[in-house]
Amino acid sequence: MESLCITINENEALKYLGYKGGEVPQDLIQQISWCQERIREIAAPRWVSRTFSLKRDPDGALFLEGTSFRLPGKDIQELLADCQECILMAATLGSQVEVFLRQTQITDMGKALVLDSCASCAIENICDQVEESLFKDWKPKGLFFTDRFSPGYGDMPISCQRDFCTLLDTQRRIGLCVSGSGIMIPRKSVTAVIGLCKNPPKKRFRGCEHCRLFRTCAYRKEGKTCGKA
Amino acid sequence: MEKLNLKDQFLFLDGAMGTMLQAAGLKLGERPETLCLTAPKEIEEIHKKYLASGSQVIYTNTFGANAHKLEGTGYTVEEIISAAVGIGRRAVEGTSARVALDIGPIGELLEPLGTLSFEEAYEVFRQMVVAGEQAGADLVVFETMTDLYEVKAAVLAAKENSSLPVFVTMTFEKNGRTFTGCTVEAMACVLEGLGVDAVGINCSLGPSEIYPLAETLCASTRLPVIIKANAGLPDPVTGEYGISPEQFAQQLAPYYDLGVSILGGCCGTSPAYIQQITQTFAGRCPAKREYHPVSRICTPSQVVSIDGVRVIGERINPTGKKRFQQALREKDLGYILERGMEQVDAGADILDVNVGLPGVDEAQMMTDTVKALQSVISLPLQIDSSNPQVIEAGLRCYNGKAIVNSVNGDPEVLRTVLPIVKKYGAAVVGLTLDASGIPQTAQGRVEIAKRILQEALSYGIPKEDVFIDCLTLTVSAQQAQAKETLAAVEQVTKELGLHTVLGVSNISFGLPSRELITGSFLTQALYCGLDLPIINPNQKAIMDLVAAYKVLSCQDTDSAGFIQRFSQAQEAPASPAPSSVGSSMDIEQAIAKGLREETKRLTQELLQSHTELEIVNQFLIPALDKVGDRYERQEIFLPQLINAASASCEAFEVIKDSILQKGSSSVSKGKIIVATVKGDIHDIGKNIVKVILENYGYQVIDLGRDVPIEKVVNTAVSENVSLIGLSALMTTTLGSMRDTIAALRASGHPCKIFVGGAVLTPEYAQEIGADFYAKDAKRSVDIAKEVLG
Repeated sequence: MESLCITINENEALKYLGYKGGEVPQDLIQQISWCQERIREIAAPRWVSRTFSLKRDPDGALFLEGTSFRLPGKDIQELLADCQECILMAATLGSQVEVFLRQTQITDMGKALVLDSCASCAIENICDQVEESLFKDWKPKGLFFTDRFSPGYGDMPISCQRDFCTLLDTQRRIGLCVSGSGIMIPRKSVTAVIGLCKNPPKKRFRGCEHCRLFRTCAYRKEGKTCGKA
Repeated sequence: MEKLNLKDQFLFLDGAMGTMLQAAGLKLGERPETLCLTAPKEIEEIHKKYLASGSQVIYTNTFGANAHKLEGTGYTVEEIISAAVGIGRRAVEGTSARVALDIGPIGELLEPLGTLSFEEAYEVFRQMVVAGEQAGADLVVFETMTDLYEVKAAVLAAKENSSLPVFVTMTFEKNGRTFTGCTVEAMACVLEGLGVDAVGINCSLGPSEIYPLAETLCASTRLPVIIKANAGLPDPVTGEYGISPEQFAQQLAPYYDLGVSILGGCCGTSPAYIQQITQTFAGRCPAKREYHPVSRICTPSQVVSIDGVRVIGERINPTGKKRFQQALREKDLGYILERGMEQVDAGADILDVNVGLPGVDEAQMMTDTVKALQSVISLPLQIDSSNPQVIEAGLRCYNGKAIVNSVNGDPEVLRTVLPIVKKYGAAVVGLTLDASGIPQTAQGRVEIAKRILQEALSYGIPKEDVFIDCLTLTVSAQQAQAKETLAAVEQVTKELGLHTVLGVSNISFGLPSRELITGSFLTQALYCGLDLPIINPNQKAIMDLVAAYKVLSCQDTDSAGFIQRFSQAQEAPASPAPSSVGSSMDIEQAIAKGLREETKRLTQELLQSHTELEIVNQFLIPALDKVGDRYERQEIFLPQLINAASASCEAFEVIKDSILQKGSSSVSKGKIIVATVKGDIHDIGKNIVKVILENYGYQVIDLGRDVPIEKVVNTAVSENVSLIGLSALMTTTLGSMRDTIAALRASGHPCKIFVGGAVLTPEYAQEIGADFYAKDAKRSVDIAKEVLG
């Protein structure tokens, strides 16, 4: 895969910063773009993925073939209902971003806050790019991707991250570990599962930050969504 | 058993264990080490195949046999290791081959990135090494390591608890760094200092890709070098390794000229690969390596070679600094970190760390400070103390190769401190004085320097790790001594061939225009050969002199550094918007806009007409209240709130300084503990709360993140704190928050507890026994006002 160039979605960063509409200060916009440059410079994005066949027992529980691992929860069963295979993936920005975040917290807390939000956007962006790249391999085979689903979404417990990391051998391959209390380290990392299906999945809701009405939307100001983005 | 000959002959290791186990049908996700008990015959067979192919050392099937990874398997570390070593011993029976206890990474990242402490990691390795030696292993191998700190814990555990030889190999990416940023040179520098028997590179890449890294490694160490490469790079789709045994041996052939002497294979290799290696190198002796000693100190990511002037920053030192002393008494590591970052930005190459103050547990403070500094700063440190316990405390937890400041010519001092320097592989500064004081002549000081060097050599500390301080005396008191110091620097440099250290600033004490005297003395000392000046890097004029000297002495090639220093640097947009000069802004506006410099200046002005307390109550707090109200009304959002608080912080620093100067009473409205609970490392929210609370005049004791329950309780009791804030971001760490609250209640210490964090709800806060739920930083202030006033 070609090297990944991180692009930060400004709206997404604003969302993480608690923005709910109104004027966005110009220096904040400048800071976001400065953070993007620094993250591009410092981050060492790495990712791994692996395809597994899915097995189901009579009551619908999902297993990854060739492993002793079960994908827990009703939500993932629903998401993968039409799938025979799935992709497990993990991605990380690397540890240098963490160090830079800590340094910035000492010298400028406000900037650190923006940087933290931007780093969260950056890892999401990396995942989007990984997904796109994987899709290039699968599209010619006539397969479609479901939504990307991560431990902690819906009823899949966040503790699954540990199993994802073990199965993908993330410590050795991309330097991604899980701490005793189940936190991924480096922190700006994501694990996820994507289903492979023969028919296009239902149109999905990607989130307000991908909508062009993000900054002015009346629903958002009341903390609601239109559910269409 | 005969001692391993690592100098004059090749030593052949084995190939992959995992690859062989997978070939034998091991399922993904199962712990391969348990096979030592469930399928011992198969493991023994693998060892025997390697022995038949020419391996002289076999690695036991114990890569992940540590307490963390075995949890839940139903087996103990001792069970697995004694079985594994037993299998190895049976396999080598009747041969001269050795059994290496194989140990991989724990599988959990150490502090500061992770939550596993250095001491816990040491314990995990200690358990494995002790079991391995008892079971009859011939040596210990730490392999596939990516974190130098973890390796240090491992090596100390092996050396302090066994007499086995120790091999270490780490795993690098093509860019020459491990995942955690450790360089090949830093690995060599630290591990040679710690006294391992051989050092090398394994896994991750094939022989061709590792070659340039091996070149660097061979040039960076005297130790025998190990290479255990993968069978090429894995295919991105199938995950299978590409190159054949013949290609593997071909790619390894050029390593002969580098003088690499210990060879084996890693992922994807099999006995066929080992056979090819042994055939390729059979009947030859390793090529002789030429090593040119260099004075170097380092952190994992940054090696500082003393091949030119390197500035040691002097600002982490309480001597004569009331505000720093207060920070030490209050264990305010944040303040110390700021002093560290400041010096990094000002261009220091090394930071001196002195935390000695009567009434402060210096050894504990040294450990805490070193750990805190190395979590954010990648410059090497100089551990500054005369107390051997403090020096050892600092060196032990230090991640890298440090300098010890200092020893002197007193035989008693040399006898107690040099063994510590040797054990931890540090460099050492020798002061040219002894029990009878400072010699008044250059010659007298050089004589002491010679003695220090001889003693260091006798302990096995190499010459390049001995630096000499010829001592600066105050010119206003002992005018004639300046010349003697300079002469001594020159002689130590030229005659002894040692690097010199000098605390420069002391020269001008008691004189007007100090910077002029200090600067002139510095220039002359540099000319005499001084290469490790200890100075205040925040003094731009002094650093300018160093920059100029580097140009004139050809250390700054093409004056590139100098030109960069004096050309307009591209400044990053800081949080506060740039201040408009000459505006008639008042302090409330300055804070609202987050203008730090402006706020600082206006506070200084206000101090002419108001007391410290008046400024806090009449200006700062009302200004922050207004900002807080606007935040609640969603007219501004979090970054702006934080910027205002940061600006107000500057005002508080001015006020604290003023109070310390006058000795008037503190403006503190009470103490509050904040902590991110045990197991959790998300601390940005907690740090925001801290900044805001400090700006309302509360003294915040920040215990950091991943804070042990007993530390919260003990601090609450010993500091008599009646308001405690706990933060947790993960559902997985809420249990830890509940336990911390329970422990606080059980201690009987009267206090109120507020909690916050993304996954908390008011209901859950109540359920786990908190007194308040703080939905954001602003709310924490309301709580503080309610509890403390």
